[in-house]
Amino acid sequence: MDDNARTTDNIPSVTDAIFQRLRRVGTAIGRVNGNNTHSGNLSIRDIHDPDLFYVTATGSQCGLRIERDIVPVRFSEVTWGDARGSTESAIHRSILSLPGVSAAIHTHYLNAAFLSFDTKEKPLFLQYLGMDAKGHDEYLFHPVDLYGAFAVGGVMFGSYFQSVGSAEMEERIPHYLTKNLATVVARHGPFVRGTSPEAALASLSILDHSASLAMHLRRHGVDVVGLQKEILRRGVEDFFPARPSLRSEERPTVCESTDRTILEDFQSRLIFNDDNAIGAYGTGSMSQKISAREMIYAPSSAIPENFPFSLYRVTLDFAGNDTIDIRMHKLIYQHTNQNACMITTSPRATAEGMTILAQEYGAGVLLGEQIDIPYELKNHPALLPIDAEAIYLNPKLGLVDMTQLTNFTATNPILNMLRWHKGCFVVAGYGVISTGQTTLEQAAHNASSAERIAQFRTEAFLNERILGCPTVESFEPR
Amino acid sequence: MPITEACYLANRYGLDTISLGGTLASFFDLYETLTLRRGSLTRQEEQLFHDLEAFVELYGEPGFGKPDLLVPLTHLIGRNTGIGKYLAHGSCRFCERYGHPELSMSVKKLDLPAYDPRTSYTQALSYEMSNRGGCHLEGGYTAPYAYCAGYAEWPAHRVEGTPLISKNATLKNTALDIIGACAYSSFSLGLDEYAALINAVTGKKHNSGTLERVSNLLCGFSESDDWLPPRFYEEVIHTRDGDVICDRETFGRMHREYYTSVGWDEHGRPTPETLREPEIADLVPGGAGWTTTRGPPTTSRR
Repeated sequence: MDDNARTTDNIPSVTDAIFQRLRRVGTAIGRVNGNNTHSGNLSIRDIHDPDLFYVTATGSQCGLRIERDIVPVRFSEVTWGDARGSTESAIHRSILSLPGVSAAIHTHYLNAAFLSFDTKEKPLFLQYLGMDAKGHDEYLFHPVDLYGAFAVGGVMFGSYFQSVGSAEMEERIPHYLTKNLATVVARHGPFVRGTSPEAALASLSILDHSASLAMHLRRHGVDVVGLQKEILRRGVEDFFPARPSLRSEERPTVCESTDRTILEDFQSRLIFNDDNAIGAYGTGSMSQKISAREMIYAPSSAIPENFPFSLYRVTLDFAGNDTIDIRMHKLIYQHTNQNACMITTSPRATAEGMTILAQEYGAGVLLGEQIDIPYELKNHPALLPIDAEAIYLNPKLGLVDMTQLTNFTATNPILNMLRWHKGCFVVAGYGVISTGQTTLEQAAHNASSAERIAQFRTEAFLNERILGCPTVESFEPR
Repeated sequence: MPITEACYLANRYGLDTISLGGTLASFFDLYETLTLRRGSLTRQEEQLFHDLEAFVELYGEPGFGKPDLLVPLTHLIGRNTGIGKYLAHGSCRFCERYGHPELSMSVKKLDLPAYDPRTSYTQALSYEMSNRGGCHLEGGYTAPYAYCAGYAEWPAHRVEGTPLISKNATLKNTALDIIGACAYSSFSLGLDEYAALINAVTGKKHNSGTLERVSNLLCGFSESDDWLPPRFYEEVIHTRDGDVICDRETFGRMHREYYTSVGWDEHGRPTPETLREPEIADLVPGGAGWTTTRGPPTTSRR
């Protein structure tokens, strides 16, 4: 066999399954504006041939259109047609060579990239670690929210002399990814590894929500770097009161509801939350109470369109192996008349809520310290909307500190927050818990409303600080 | 115009327009049903035609599609004269008088409103479970949930979870009745707001739905009274989305779910634990030692 024949035969066709899978992931990234129309790149190992992986073609559209948008590439040699692969194929090759890694994604998720404009002279969001041996600045970001801290953990932000498709990236990015799930190329975007493209996508999504939270907190004056240092000093297990429920690759997809309308209801809420960045993919949860003893439960509140998801039939009695999320749903159903519940990462609303708590009760409230916060009807922390629609629908959002995540008694103030504030409130460091007395749609409405309330406040706050406009408080209802 | 005038007169006479409409509909239904069988009627059935002789002589035969009869019938009921003397007791007792209680579209002898329960299972359950009887207010006005409730819209024929929605609607409308609030306030206020209003005044937790249930049970009602008229389980209604009907077995399941959700046993009797909370156990002879219960109703005798 001559060389020419060998290389031609060597190029396998992209299977429809791989094409559909990468297309689905690429589309999901596009729907949350994680890339512009044609940027970023994805790769996946061939499950049958250990010498082969597939990478998106250079210039291919985010979400892929045709099979030629995926290029098969060998680990061991350069073959005919490799040039069609992304200019960062070599980086993918290095990442996919790491043990246990089956997929890699590079995107330009905005919030993660925004953080990377930090400088060593004035680190706002990141810890400056110093320079590596070749003179590159290195920074560390650690999520300050429960989901980000447990699902993604520390993320190295590296600066590069040439920060697109360079040899130095090929060398250092896999190095960072040896220890961490994600790394961010300064002023460019994140690279993420995973056991699958879906796992990598989930890490990306969570990282971006954590980055959004950190950015909004810092803009409001919260010492995010100090918060990160404290988390690292104590360790996530000690700092946070509980572990969140995280997406699992091992769990098979199941649907334990036979009612088509319930399935459709959950699906539409999951997609909406993902599309609109109300929840990070694979985080949070949602449920519909279906009897005095049971609920239909989804272990996520955000899933991209066309992605599988599970619905479980779960008893409302506490069980020993309950995740913190499931226990929250159960607590609410045991003590209120709510029939639907949703927990979302809601980074903007969470940041607004954490800021107010820190302003009113000191930074210690964000560090998990036992602070005596009044949770009384006429005296409790709350977030006030400034836009008319929210003032009409959710006149206030209640706020609670993170320690309440382990209080599973009728005294937990979250129960009164739901009663007093039309089924919606913020838990510091966790997210938004929203409910509905009838439908999941009501809970979804509350969750989306909370994020918009925060967005209005954020924009008014920026106008106040940059343009000298009236204060946010001046727009609050009296 | 006759409908408007009849409604006006009903208000002047102090008649509930929903009960009036339901009673007249049952009257027409009964008359048309028996007319078809004229010649083979029982003495009890024949009695209807005797009772109607004077009316027919003055106004002609009663029946659907005759709006001009509404005003004179309303007057007769309001004045408690002629056939109005019997109609004034409502459709259930009127139909019972002639041996056909199944033609009364009522629950616990209260005539149903216009919302067909086959097109909204939450409304169907609310009719059934209302302590007052087939009432769309005390039992919960849930028909809009199926069609025009915005983000609270609940699929009309979903079974799982439906008893909880009906239960919440009943609780909400009971709260409205207690404080005398406008029914339409329930479109913007939730259960928790009403509870706060009531508790602010009374300083106590109340379980008035169970208190009413206890009253009904002591008066002889049982789980067998928690059912729609049999026709809703036997005759389909044609809708844009297809033929729909209430399934008896499904509703039996939903009844049990409803009972559990409000702290009643499988026969719809408040459990000792439920009675303890509102401190009403002493109203029940022997505490919560309920002894008798009747089963669900049999099929239509029509």
